[in-house]
Amino acid sequence: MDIELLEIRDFIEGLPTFRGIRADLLPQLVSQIAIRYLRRGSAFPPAEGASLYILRQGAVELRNEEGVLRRKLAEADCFCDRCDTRPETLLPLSGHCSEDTLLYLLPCEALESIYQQQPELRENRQRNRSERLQHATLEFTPDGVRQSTLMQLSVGHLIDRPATMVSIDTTVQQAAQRMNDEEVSAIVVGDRERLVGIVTDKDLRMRLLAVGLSAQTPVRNIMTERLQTLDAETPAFEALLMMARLNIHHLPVMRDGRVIGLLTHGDLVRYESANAVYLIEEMRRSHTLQQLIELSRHLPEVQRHLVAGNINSYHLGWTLAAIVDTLTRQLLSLAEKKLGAPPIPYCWLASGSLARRELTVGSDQDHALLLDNCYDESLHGEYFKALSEFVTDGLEQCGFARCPGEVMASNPQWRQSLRQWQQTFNGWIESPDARAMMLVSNFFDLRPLGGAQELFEQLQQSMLHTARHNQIFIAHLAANALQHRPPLGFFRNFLLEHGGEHANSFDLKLRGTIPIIDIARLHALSAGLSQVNTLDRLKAAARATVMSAQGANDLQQAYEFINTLRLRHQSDRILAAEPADNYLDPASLSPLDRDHLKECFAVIGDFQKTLEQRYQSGRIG
Amino acid sequence: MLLHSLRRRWLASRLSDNPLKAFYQIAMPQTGNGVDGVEFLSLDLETTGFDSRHETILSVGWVVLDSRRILLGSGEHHLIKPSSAINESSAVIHAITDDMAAGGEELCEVMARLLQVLQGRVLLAHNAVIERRFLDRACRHCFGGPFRSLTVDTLQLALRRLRQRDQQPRGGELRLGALREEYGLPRYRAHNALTDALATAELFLAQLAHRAKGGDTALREILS
Repeated sequence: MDIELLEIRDFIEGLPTFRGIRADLLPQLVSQIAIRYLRRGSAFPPAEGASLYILRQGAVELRNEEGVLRRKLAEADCFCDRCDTRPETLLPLSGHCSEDTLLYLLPCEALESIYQQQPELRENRQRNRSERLQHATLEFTPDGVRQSTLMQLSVGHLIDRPATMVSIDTTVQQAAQRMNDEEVSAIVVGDRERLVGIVTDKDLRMRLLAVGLSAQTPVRNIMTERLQTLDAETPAFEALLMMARLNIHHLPVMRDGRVIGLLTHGDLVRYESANAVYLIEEMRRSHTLQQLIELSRHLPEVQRHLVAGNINSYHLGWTLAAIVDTLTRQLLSLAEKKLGAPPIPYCWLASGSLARRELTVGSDQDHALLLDNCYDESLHGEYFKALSEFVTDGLEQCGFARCPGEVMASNPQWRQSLRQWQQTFNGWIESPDARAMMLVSNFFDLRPLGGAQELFEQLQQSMLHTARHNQIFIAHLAANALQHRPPLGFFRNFLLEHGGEHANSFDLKLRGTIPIIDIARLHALSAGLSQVNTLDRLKAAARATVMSAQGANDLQQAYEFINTLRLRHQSDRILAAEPADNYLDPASLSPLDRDHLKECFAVIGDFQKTLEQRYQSGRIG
Repeated sequence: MLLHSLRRRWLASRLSDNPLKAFYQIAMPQTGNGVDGVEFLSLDLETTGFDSRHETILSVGWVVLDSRRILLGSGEHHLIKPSSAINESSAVIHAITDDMAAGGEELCEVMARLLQVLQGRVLLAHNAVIERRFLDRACRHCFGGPFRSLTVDTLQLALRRLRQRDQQPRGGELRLGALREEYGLPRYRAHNALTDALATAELFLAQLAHRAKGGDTALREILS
């Protein structure tokens, strides 16, 4: 092969599948390509050895076994049903050329050889596949950093099916039926072809059910008229801003005066979450610590994008936890690869914010190791010490600071057998002291990440049982929940503190979210509830009637709002390339946000007062 | 066909042991059979002009194909050292090739390599008359004998197709780029002997695919 085949080289190099291919591999790849010309109507794939098919020109339609059109290939698209490492995940597709087609064929063995010489290309290819599955078309900048394309993408691109339209005389029941059939949360109402309104799930609830209208009411009576619409060319981020401004979740998208589809808030958020999904996928495919470190660098950006996409803190927490869970599991598997198989069963426990799925970028690492009862330190101690240190070091290199209180599996104190852990918990519960109460927020929020899950279940059961029935311990938990008090409020830009001091900035986490987390934990443990996430705990506590529904709801709202401020603040910090922290300057808040925050503080304050009375914890603390 | 192989045998007998003799000694495909399984060598020459008596070859590019697929790995591109050119009279040459000279090869070495890969294969070129004329002159110079080869000419195939429809070619219609466009083939920006040889090979596959008989076409039907 000669360097003179620039046309082919440039084309191959420009394919997403081979993006970033090493210059020395390119000639090798090109030399293994065979070119075919398939006339329109020819069967595809052509009868050849298993190959990667690259369309240089032309078009191909692929159908599944039932003859349903599944994919169309056009110039620069790649197709391969047999080269992939996991062929069972793909349905057999075949079809024909819908245009005369110039096709490049790269034998699977040749592709495999390239992959072996440059493994990240394999990830490219698999990523491309998941991108298609997600209907997302994220651009990659040359250094591999994913960038949000909501800035560049128009809403027309996000529409993947036409809006469901009913006429104005359709009954609400028929409309609801259509919505069910098509699994949509909103439906557009048309007078002939003209768009006149929209009906959403919420409209059915608020304008029909809540006011007791009949299901035979025509949709014209409950639809929203005078609609905001979007032109198909509107940038997606503008759509997002518009939704936020108008507090709506559906916008009809128009092209040439006709509705082409309905854009939902979920479409936009899903699009942004795709970043996180890919990060997880890539972490799963990583084989070295170095790769994991590189990937973890994207975490702040992922968080910022999710926040920009208006994701709520609950879903953000789930998403970030999913990433860190994956990271931890990968580190564990690297450690096992290095140290050999574990000599006895173990369970890696996430504790603290990761266990609660409430972490944000910049959270410290908190974890512990739970070992099978046959643990013998003289036999197995070395292994688990090395394992724990490997994972702790790895997490640190991936941007998670060591826990200042050394609540980490690398601390020998927090590597115990199931029996030892049960004793430790019993000790804390039966004779709670100041130190035990400090550890509560770590060790009473646990979630198993890797290894033998059943070990964790046994520990959790005994812990929940013991805690619930020990009134003194519960009273201590209540006292703990009173430790951090929210500020009294604001006066202009000054924070009014309990001690009469004022500060230029305050810790949103310590003064805002931690009190709520503590209150939720108290109620969950007092009722023996296994939930760990704060919002989940509050909801479950309301269901178990250990908390009033109204009270639980107020706290949830307060928690969500404070977290939103916190995340917004962190996004600003990330954009400014500063470490994400929790220190908010009240002067940076809008008057509306400040009022809202004051109310949140008041909710927390009220709750703390009630607790004080109920547990008389003032005397215990 | 019989005539062709007889002539090759006769040509071989008159040559001393050299690459051209070896080329003539290898049997060629049967022209009465279908093109399936026949191998072609798509060739392009870059020359200083069209007249083989006064102009000279600057570079040679080729790629091997059969009636279905082009094998990119078979592609070769050779720059020819101007000092070894048959005719150095053109002043232009030097201007073009001064900086190429360092990497260039002797014309006769390149010809030997070409004859080696052309063994048992049919020559394919666009407007092959030019290529044949230059190759003939080079063979006489290097190996003391004429160049004879089974040849398919994509320009001739296009011309015949037009004539079958009682049409006359319009200006530029038979150029390689124009014909490729007609078959929906991509436009290649770069022009060198190898890219053009590849472009010709792709055009040939398209022409073949669009013949009613496709791969059943007899070699005889498409030879020039």
